[in-house]
Amino acid sequence: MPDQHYLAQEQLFTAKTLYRELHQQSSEQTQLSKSLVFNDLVQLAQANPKIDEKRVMQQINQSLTLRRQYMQLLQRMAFAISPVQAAASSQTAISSRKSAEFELLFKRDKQFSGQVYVILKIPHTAEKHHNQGVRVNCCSDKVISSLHFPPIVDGKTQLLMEESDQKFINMFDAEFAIYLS
Amino acid sequence: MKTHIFIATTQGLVAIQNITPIDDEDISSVVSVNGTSTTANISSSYHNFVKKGVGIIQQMFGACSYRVDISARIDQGNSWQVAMYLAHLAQSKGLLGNGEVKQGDKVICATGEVNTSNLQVLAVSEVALKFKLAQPQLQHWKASGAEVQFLLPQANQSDLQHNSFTLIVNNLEQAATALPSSSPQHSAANIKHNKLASVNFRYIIAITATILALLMFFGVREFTSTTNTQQQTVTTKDVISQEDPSKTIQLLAQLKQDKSCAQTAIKNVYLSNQTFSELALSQLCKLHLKIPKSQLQVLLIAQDAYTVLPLIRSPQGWQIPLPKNRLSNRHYYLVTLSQTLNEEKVERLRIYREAMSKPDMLSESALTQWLQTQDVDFVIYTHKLVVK
Repeated sequence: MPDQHYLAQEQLFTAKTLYRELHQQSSEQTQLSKSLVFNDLVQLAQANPKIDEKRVMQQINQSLTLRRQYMQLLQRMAFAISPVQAAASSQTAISSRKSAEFELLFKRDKQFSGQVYVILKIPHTAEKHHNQGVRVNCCSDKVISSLHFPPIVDGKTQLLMEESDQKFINMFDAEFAIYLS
Repeated sequence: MKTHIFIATTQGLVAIQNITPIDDEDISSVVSVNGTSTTANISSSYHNFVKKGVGIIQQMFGACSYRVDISARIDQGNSWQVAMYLAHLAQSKGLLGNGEVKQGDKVICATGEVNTSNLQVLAVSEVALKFKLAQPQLQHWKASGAEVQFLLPQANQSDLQHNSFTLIVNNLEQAATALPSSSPQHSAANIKHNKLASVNFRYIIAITATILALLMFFGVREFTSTTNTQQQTVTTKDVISQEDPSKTIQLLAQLKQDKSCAQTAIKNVYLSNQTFSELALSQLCKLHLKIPKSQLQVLLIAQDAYTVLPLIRSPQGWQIPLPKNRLSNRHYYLVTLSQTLNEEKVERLRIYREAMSKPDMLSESALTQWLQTQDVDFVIYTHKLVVK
């Protein structure tokens, strides 16, 4: 019951914010509207590869309102979610993430130390995953990071990343929830 | 002396710096820029160029995935394919350079797309522009003592005036002749050897079967076995069958005596319960199977891959092709048959094999069951090549 109450509150908050965005010009909105509109969030959540991910994510992480809106969009649009992992120890790094819809794992490059192949396997793919790829959103209480994987081929897609890349670290951090869209 | 392979692009020459077999089914082939984690947009096309069934690289060079490092981004098109094939061929011969050309080195710049079915080199666009951008560099390398060639498809011949750099190629066999110590005959044999499971393979089988039939018809005896003094000295250390070799089966391995295969010793591999003892891949140069005359055909059936390969007979015995990829263990069956399975039956075995969702699902009993349906006497031997 308290959860439903909270959800209703959150939806109401988001609806009011959207209404304000359309009809009022708050100082924050004025500043953001120069570069970011609500549709940018929608396009990012829909894994549109043409969106300027870096710019949009930067603004999302700087604004509590945008982050809340983006989270709401992800909850609606994500086709697979891996929630925050229950950790039995203080060690938060994990080697892979699995759900019924996907498996995310990494393998280290044998020649170039510090580089890793991040492999995303999706056994049952939608058409858009073959055309425009998959967006992996890593969300914690404080920050959201987002990565675009190339189109799925043979049920999988991969990225070559630096092991020190914060986005890679977030993906395999048990304290981050993952939303795939 | 190294051979440096460059891809001619509309932005200038791009060096193929390094090729590393990944050979992990989870990891797709990737083209990275300058050894960084930045990948070129052609990565997915390159993955398809490697992938067995669609591409040619896995079939020719063994590993299911590779990492290629190039010196600059290539965003689109398929004109990198001929150069990439040559780089793989050079890599397999230990010739591939890293793009830093020195005096006496060989430089091959190439543009051209590959028809992966018949290995013809297809026409590409903007050849004149690519050559124009490459020309100053080609002249510089030539002046500094390197041997330089610019390969272009025959279909693009009219796009460019013939000059001292250009080499017109119509297929991969011709392209391979550009590599040092790669005679046309060698290249052809190499390509055919590596493409055994492809269309060409059928012709080889048909020719082999015809030769065998003719030999049997004219009563020609078994090919004379060569006597190797090294064999006699080395085999004293190993277990040798005391029976008449013509009635027994022998797996003869040529092992390196130093770093290369220039000097080898022959080892008779121990056989117990129809299983040959393991051999280290790193030491292996050649592998032949000698079988009784009553056996007319030998099939190699990989246990860890979908390969089904009728072996070819040579004076030394039935030659077992060694895997190009020597990073993982290789497990396979050798089936000796009293009658030759025709091409159609071999193809049926291949289809039976490929119907399994994973290659390692093939067990000896499953293979026995299938062979029993062919109304032919057979013996199955197992062998493993290991990474040590």
